[in-house]
Amino acid sequence: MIRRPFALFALSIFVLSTIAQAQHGLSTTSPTGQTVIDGVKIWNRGGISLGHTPADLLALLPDAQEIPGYTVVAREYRGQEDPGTFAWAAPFGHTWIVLNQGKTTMWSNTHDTLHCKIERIWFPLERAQAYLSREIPTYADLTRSGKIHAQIAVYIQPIQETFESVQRQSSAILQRGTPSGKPLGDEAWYIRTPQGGGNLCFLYDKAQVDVSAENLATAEAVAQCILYRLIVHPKRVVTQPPLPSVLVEGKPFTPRGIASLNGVVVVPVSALAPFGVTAETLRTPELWTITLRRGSLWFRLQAFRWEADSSVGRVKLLRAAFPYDGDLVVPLRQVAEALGLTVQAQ
Amino acid sequence: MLWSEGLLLVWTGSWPLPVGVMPYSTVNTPSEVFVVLDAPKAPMSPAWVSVLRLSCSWASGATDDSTAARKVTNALHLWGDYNGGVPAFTNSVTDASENFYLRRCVESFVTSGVVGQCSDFADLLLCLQTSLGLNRRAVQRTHPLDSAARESQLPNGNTGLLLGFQTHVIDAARYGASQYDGSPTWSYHQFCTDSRDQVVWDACLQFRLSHRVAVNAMPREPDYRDHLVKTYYFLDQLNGLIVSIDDPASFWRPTPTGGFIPNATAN
Repeated sequence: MIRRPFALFALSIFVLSTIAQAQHGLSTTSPTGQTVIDGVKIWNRGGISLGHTPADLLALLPDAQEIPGYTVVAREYRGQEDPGTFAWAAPFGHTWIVLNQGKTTMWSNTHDTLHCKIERIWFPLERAQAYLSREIPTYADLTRSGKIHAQIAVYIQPIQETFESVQRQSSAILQRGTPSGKPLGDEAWYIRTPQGGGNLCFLYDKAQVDVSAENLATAEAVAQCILYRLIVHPKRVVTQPPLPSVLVEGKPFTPRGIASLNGVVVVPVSALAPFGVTAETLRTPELWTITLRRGSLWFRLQAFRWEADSSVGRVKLLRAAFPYDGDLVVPLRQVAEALGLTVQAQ
Repeated sequence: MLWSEGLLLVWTGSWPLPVGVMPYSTVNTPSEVFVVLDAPKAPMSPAWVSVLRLSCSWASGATDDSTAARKVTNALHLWGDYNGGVPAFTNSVTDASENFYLRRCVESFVTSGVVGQCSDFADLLLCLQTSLGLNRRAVQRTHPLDSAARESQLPNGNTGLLLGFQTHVIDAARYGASQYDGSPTWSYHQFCTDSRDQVVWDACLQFRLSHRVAVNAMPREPDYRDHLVKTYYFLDQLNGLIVSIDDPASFWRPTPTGGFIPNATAN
């Protein structure tokens, strides 16, 4: 008989070692062929290596639990209960990575140029739970509504596609730009469905990103989050845009994580702490809210929302707040000035 | 007749042997025998194992072409996800050809369920049907893609450039409610066709919303055309105004005439 405290200890050690093994596996170059690690299904096509590991690509997406109200679900093989699923394709994973696919020459527009790709679907928490408890019997039923789907391809060289070349191949009529009208990457376009959802795609340097959701504002917030992650990626998977020289309270301001998203400087909120800004975070599976205070002034943001509340009323944000490395990233000038700080950017 | 292509063993029965997959194994090598209706046709000649696994499973029990075609079309519609019209697994698109990244499309379908846009559905359906030996299959688009071939004289006498068309209410794949259902405006649509009989199979959509059936062997004209197209939109090239024409026949130009076989690639 195993005593319960020991069993829990052993389970903890097992879980921790499994996570450590998974993280190690994701941080190294995957072998050619197919592997599944910790719900991440990886195909290494065996082409010329771009040098990206699965962990490098995972860093481009919000984590499984970072979009409030959503989570990821690994598809399950359920036999005749789910005839759309095949045993020979299992395990399915919840995130899909393709490494070193394509050729080094640009003989065609997109797909045959050497690239790596990551794709993930998030589902509303209640639907994910219903699928896992088999109230929703099939994966097809699960994916029918509510999902957020993101895919990123990182190529060996800057993408040659244009809005016109993509439109020519697209059966949908694309709207140029973004739903909010705010610039996104080098080029962006979207499809709006009658229900208010749709797809938002953008190109930035060597990256092509496609996000679809039932709410285009959410899709755009996720897309901004991905653009930020591309720009600040430690391996510089894309060219970093020039960062203006920023002064806060008259002092040079160059914290870790500062970046310019099409001209809007964003920073993790923790970077404002040296200026007397305190932060209260409320994080549940459904909500990620942060309230910033400085003296009598306050500013409250939610992850992936385009509006904030402040001591002077409701504010429309230039960029939605989004998570990165446990922090929320926010538009610097809007937030800092609302808290009484002076910001100068050149 | 029993024949093989490399390591793939394919049975084409001369007696009514239904489509299916038979497990077969030697001492150390479990294998599958795929029973199909006839020798696979282009672009599935030779057929791919990953495609046969789908087609022979979905068309299991079929003993004739029409039943096999209907089964794989309905199954793809039931289980495949439409992506809203974003280019996915095709490129190098011309009016008479395109590359179809079949391996990537099948992998995407069996893991996440996503098939892609209409051209991916049409190309994958073509592969599924031809892998079973079905004859004379090709894919076609509703009209040419090249701008020069999309011009038409408008009722006011000016030249109009076709921008696209609005559909009647459709149920986009998968079967059942999804965010892409409704009456979308498309720049073109691609479907699978019989190059001689001019009938259409389309797993990307269905017209009868309460049914679980996709478009199966529907006469291309007038049935499919009139169920699909509600209004054409043109850009009047003289005054820059948008002109709408509610006549499905006004710019119905299936392209190319006999359809085309995409270049299915494993890259």
